[in-house]
Amino acid sequence: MLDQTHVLEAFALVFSFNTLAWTLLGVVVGVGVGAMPGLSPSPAIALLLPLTFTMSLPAALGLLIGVYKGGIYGGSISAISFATPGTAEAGATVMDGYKLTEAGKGRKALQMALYASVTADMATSLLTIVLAPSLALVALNFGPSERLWMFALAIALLGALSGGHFAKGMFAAALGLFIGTIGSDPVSMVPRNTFGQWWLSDGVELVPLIIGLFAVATMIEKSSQAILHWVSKTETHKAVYRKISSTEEPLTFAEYRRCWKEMAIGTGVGAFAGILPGLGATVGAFLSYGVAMQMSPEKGIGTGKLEGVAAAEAGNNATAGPTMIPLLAFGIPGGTVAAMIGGALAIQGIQAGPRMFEMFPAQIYSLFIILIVANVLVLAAGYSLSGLFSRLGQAPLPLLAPIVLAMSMLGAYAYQTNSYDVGLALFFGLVGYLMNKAEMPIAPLIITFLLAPLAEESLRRALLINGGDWSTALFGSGLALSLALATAALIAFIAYGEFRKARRLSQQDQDAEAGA
Amino acid sequence: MGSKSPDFLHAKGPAKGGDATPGHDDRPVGWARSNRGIALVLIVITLVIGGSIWSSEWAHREVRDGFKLGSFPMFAIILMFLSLLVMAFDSKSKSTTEAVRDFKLVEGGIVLALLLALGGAFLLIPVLGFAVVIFLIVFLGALLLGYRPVWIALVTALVTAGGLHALTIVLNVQFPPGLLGFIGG
Amino acid sequence: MFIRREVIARLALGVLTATALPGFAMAQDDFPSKDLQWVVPYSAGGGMDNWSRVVAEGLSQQIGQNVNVEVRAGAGGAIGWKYLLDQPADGYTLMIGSASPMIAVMSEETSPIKVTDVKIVNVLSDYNSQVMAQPGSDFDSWDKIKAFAEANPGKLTVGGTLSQSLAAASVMAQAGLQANFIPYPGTSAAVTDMLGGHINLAVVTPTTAVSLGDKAVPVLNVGPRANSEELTAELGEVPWVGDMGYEGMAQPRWIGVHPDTPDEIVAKLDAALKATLEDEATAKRIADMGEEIIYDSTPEATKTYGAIQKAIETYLPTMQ
Repeated sequence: MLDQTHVLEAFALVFSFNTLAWTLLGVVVGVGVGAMPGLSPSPAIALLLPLTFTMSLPAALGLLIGVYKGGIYGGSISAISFATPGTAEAGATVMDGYKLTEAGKGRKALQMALYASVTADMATSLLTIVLAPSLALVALNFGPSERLWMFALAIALLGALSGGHFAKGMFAAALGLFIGTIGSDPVSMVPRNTFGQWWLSDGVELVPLIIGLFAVATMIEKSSQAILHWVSKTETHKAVYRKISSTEEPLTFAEYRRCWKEMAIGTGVGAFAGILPGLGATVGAFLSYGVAMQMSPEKGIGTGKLEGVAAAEAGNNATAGPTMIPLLAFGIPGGTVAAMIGGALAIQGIQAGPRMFEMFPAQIYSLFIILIVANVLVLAAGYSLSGLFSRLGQAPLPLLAPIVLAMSMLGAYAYQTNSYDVGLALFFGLVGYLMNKAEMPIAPLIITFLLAPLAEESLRRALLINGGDWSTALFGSGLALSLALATAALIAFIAYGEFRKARRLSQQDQDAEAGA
Repeated sequence: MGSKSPDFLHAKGPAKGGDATPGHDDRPVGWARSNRGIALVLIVITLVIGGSIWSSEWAHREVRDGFKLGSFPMFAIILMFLSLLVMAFDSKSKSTTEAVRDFKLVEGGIVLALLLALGGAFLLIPVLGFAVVIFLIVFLGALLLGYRPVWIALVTALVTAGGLHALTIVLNVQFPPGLLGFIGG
Repeated sequence: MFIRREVIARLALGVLTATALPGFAMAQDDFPSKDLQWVVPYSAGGGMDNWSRVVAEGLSQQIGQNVNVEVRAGAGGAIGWKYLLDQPADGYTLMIGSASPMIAVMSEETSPIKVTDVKIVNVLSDYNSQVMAQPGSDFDSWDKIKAFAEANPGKLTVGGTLSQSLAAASVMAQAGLQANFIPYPGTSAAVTDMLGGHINLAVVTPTTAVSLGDKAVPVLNVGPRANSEELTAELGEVPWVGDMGYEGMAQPRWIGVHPDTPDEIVAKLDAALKATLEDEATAKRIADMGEEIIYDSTPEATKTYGAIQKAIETYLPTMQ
């Protein structure tokens, strides 16, 4: 099926100095921008897109895909080194990543993030290349009803992410749901819940939300602590950031292998999140993390375990290749980045879609090869750059905090050239600060914020298609029914787990009493 | 007599799986700082927001698929309220977290002041220019947080301002130009 | 001698112009004398962004000044529009638009912008929305669709973005048929559901229609003109609503400036943009992107804008 001459041509195109140089540049820029808290790679891709007018197609693809893949990995560097995710999808890596740093295992964490990212990315890139058309057909079976249950399934996993205090997790989830409703009604496109602010008619965007909840909240908190200690001249203020020294132990192969299950989970969930339009790396990361937690509660994910980092990083990078599948199979981009890659192709005169393979085979094969090559370059660049960036985390707080805050504001503004996003970032900085104080987990908020609007859209679309009939809207197909049952089973499973946990705790109480 | 186990037995222990609640501290604490107190404050806020939505004009407008504009927002409010009720009365309601216990009002004031200062700085960009504002944030911020020697803070601020300014040029990010915009651009 | 008098006369005129007439008349003569700003109220990296950059580059060569493309997304286009209105009405800021920001502004009651808050310079491009169906389904020709819709009023499901759906809605209404319009945030989501058989029809742009190849079949052209020869070559013969006596709806890419901009400046911009579109290099790049140039001068464009505004006013309430 693969045409020899075209494949060879594609190899020649990719392994030229020009293409490789641009890909490497892309990867370095991606990792760098991703690692910087407040700046996200997708605006960078958007802004680089016009530059690709003058470049050859393989170079253009190399640059953009390099930035994209580098960026997804890069976010983990600052997440692990200084508890501030550089990208939204690194938000799931913070939880275990930073705790590992505090425990003196930062280097292991950084390397785990890198290897998990590259492993999962490689696996799904190969999957994309081999199975793009067939996977795309599977995805077509997911209409509004099926997607609704898929989202419900994902949201049900929230139970795992609540940490210890279920009610707080649920409140965070409900709050995320509320924030998600700000904006426009999905059916009528009429603004709703905007507190009378016209500029909120598109709702709250993910990037300012993440910048606020993570970067601003963390830095503001540490800053205020620093000021308090400075003002009250209290003696010891604990070392703010645990340093990651190069004399720390590196990751051992045994440790890498130990996390195979989590990486597999990340790969699977991430591939799924990538193929289905509308999801994306952030959902991939948080969901993988949640699934991993649910599947192996004994491993203690969330308390600073390499497994947690592996699951989250595998989950986000695994979406990179599959997100192009709808684009390659039908010419329909499934997400923002795929759309931009589609744009880059269009600029070069290539209309994405099933006819690409007939009309431009060499170019499409070169896209595939670049998917792999970019991965390898991420591995190389990541290895060298992560050490550099993590040292930045050792900068003294009084310098680091203002710099991160300045970058956060720039990042929030640059996302859409919209000043209101900066205000939102600052506001959510306050919210994040308060949530951290009250130990309310942020992960459930992000998941419902992302998924609940999609679930609502799907539900209402399903109802519209079925003329208001709830039973066909919800259970109209075999697939929908199976997913519904899976959701019910999952909820039962989680509820049972919570119940047993509660009983065990009260059993401990009674035992303690008896012993005392 | 109910569980009268001594509180210290529930104090922070080693974290196990998803079980333990790191940071949870069952030592007796003022009512306002307990989880129950937090829950009640949040309940009030939730009810206020919910009330303003309910009484607003847009919330009752019907959309062509039968839902109302306010349906899903109110659904979220109800879930918020329910989870807060659970929080107010569950087993951990009387306890609190370490951070809340040690919270001083002053810290809250500082946080608000910092956020307002940042917001204000951003609003000054049209007047002073992007690079100047970044310089001020980093320089004054470092000094405020107690960094010495001053000259290192100065240099760092200059480098950061220059670097980020270069970034805005490369990425073609436009800021509203202002009176003195030509200085920092 | 003769020449010297001419020179003196010109100098005199120049001095008079510089001193006697109000400031903006001089600006008109010099227009443009500095960089232009081109506002794109859509997401970065998207179709409008790419389109704008190509034309902006061509334009800056025509007028000899830089044209800076600024993406300002948010609030459905209102953020970019508001930015335009906040700039001086001197013609140095222009904005590209379509039906979408108009719909956004008309849907938001508290919006500080009215849909009439713009002066149209011209229209650069337009396209005919195409209605697509799955090959071999019960909907792969207009006759089949009509039969189904007449037998099952309100059951025919048509998906698309709001602006695309409005085009289809207006035609269905004119044909006396009742269809069930399913809203989607983007064309791709609608097409995916159509390909999967979850909805019957999807309304898409010609570019999308072409790229689908034989996975989908175009059944109706709901635009204001018949499909061009190039498009017909790719898609085959697609029935045009105009041939059936219905009015299609345009999807223009219009260029607008601040409503108080003097007409002379608008005319200059119009001329410059027209020249840009006619320039071979730019035209080729646009064609490579798969887009069509359909130029409407200022008066025509203003009429088109008004027509779209009316169409939105008429049919938007049925979608809300």
